[in-house]
Amino acid sequence: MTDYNDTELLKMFREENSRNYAFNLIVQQYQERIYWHIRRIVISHDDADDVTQNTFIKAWNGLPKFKEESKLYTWLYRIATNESITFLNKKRKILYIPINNIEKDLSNKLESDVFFTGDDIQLKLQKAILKLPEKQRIVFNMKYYEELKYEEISEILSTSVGALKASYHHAVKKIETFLKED
Amino acid sequence: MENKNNIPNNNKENPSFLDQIKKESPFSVPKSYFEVLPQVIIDKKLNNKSIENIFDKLSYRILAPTFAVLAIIAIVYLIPNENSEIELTGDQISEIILNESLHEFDEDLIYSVYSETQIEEPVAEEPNEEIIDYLINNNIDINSIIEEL
Repeated sequence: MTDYNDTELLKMFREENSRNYAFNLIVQQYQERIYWHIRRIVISHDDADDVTQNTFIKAWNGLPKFKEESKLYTWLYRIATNESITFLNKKRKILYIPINNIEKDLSNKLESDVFFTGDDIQLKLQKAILKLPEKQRIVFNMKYYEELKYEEISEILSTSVGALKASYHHAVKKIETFLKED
Repeated sequence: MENKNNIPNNNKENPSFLDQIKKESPFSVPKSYFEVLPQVIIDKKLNNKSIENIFDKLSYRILAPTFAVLAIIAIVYLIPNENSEIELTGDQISEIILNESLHEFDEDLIYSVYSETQIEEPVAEEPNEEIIDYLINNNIDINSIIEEL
């Protein structure tokens, strides 16, 4: 697949004739990064699949108004993060799960998930990550696994770089403690 | 400036315990998932669009006037008319009592209600004095009148 930059993709999207083609390219170019970002938040593949599809549908609806004030992928990341958090909130309401227990529920499902292929220590790490508060968990995943820069995370989560550094630092300390306790 | 939170400022802040754990994703996806996902999204997008388009067209051209007509019909026929009364013929009332209502009554209940109800004896009216005087003056026996009746 030919890699186009954001400006080229958006230019194609704005033209009626090439809109569907451009959107197809955008999906192909960003689907994996967006999917894995969502998957680390919602854990289950089926849920991640639904949220990923919704993210790109929202992107299709929002792209005509996208003003290129941010990079396309940070904008997609922001939609994906919001969709994932909204999804978990809906799940809490539907299942009457208290606000802190949805992660416990996700943690319990990890062991029986056929699409979890990690070893024991990776399972322990994932369970430790799931004990973090939601925003700390997202920051940790974006920094550690997705290797995004603090400036990029700041743009996506609308949080200052200083606050993100503190959040990541505390997340790492907590994970270390959780792993020692386990 | 002193970093009060003791937060490292560089990106190499991962402690050694994380280095001992494989960083690769422990999650997997079904086979060929990312090959079919773009088409699934395009189909979903087109499906949403067609549903929206159909609804938009219907709502303006067909649904709006249809709902308006249905609303008028509902107002005319479904709101109860206070002046309307059901008129039944005597035969119909008899039929209803005999066929539908009467046999549903509990006879014991009727008896108990009846026995508790004290039927007032009709009060015998005092004969009008003028009439009695007339009968006496004309020497008419009241019993003969009764017999004639």
